[in-house]
Amino acid sequence: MKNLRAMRITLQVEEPEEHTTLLERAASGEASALERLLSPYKFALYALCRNMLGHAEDAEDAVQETYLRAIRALPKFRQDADLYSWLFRIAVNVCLNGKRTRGKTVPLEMATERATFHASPEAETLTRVEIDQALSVLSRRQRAVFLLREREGWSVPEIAAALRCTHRRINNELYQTRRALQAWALAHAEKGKEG
Amino acid sequence: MKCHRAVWLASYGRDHTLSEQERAALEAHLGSCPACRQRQAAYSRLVNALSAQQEPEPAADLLQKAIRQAQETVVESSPANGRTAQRVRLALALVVLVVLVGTRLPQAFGQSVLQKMEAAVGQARTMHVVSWEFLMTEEEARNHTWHDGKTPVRTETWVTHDAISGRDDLMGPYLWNATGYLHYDPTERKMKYLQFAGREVSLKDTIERSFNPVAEMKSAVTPGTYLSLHNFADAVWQGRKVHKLQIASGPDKPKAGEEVPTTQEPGRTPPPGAAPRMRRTFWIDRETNLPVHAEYEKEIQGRWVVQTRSDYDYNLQTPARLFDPEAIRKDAEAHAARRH
Repeated sequence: MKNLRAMRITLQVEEPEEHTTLLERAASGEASALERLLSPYKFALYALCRNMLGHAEDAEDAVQETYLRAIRALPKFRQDADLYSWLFRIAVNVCLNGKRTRGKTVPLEMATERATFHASPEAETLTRVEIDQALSVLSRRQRAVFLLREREGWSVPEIAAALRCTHRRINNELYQTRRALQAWALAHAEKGKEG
Repeated sequence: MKCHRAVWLASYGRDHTLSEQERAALEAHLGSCPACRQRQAAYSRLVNALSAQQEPEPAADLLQKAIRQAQETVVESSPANGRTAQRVRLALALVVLVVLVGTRLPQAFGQSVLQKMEAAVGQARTMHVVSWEFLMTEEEARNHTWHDGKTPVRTETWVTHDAISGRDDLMGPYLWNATGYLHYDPTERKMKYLQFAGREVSLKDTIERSFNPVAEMKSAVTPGTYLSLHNFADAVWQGRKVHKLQIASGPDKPKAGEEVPTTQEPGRTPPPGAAPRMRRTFWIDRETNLPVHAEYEKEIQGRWVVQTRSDYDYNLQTPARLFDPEAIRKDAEAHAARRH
């Protein structure tokens, strides 16, 4: 079951009476239909790519490439399939297979900013920079698995289907990913106390 | 239970249902092992932060670029020579001819003018806007007395990629840069310097939207309302040849080809009265694709009333004193002294 974010996008896009016509118009290459169909996913796709690649410009390139692949493949898209999952699968593949073009995951000037845990548990929040730092300890594939599970709320079978592997492998990858992130979070909290 | 087993079970338990036995064992371990508790808490904090993280705003034209790229690829992949290519060339020539004789498809052409304008303002270094605001009330509109004997409020704004400097007849000068927002507070009758620590993003957004008045409309439209594009015949504005486009917002669904995508949720029914009809007409220089003039109108009591008229200039040299906090402070104090 996808999370609320996915449901919101789906509700936004899919008005049953229009959806089929819209898909047909989009598949025939009509620009306004393509925009109407695909633009609501832009923010979610960008957030995924941004977290996967750790760089804003790389993420924009990846979203553009995702859209391009989707537009080309749209004539083959099954009308009863889930557009949200389909686009996300394309985006994950783009991010996994794309070249890293812009160096370090965390821009240097940002990484040197103070990233602290505050004293009281209520105030303990993580900034964008800290999230980038945490994600940078993971491989791209681990990031994909982690983001699809914890941010997008996909189930293990859904992730396994998207990445074309077994449930067992995804369970193992989630375990490895969480261990790595727990280690990072503990080290980070220690550093925060020292600082 | 050993720690590594607890970590595995805790991970597995986030994605699947644990058996009663496993759950009890995990809870017992977490109850007695502070290190594992800490690990789980740290991980939960990270996940919560990730979920709460606001989705950043990507470039506005990613999808449009992809669509253009897809269309170009289709043209490129068609045979480059032979009869088909000749037919393609003939068809293109015919389209150009149709455009030149003035019987072009108006909305499709309007969309391309709009795209060119958005691309052009995206390249601009500075922007200067002088606006005349006609502050209209419902009562004035009802009594048909709008604009009668009124002096509109003049506002002037300079925008660079780092700061916004402006002034209007009422509030006086202000400066918004990475450090904060310097302005005169009429209630307290003194200069104030608001700090926006960590909120530079909103300055960045404001600057982007200032440069691009269409993007501003796209993001400011009431959820559930539509933006539609109307294309008028080309005109001449103060000696310049211009395209004239109008973007209207309101609850009525636009016809095919007239819709302008917004960043708001489409297709939702807005609450009654939440979506008055508004429209903004742009006069766009045909050489530079930059807007030179705009008028903003609102429907009040069934009549269209001009609210603001603006003249735009892009890429001018900015006056340094307008971006100097000390000069702004002096200007604002002088303005305040005149007013009180």
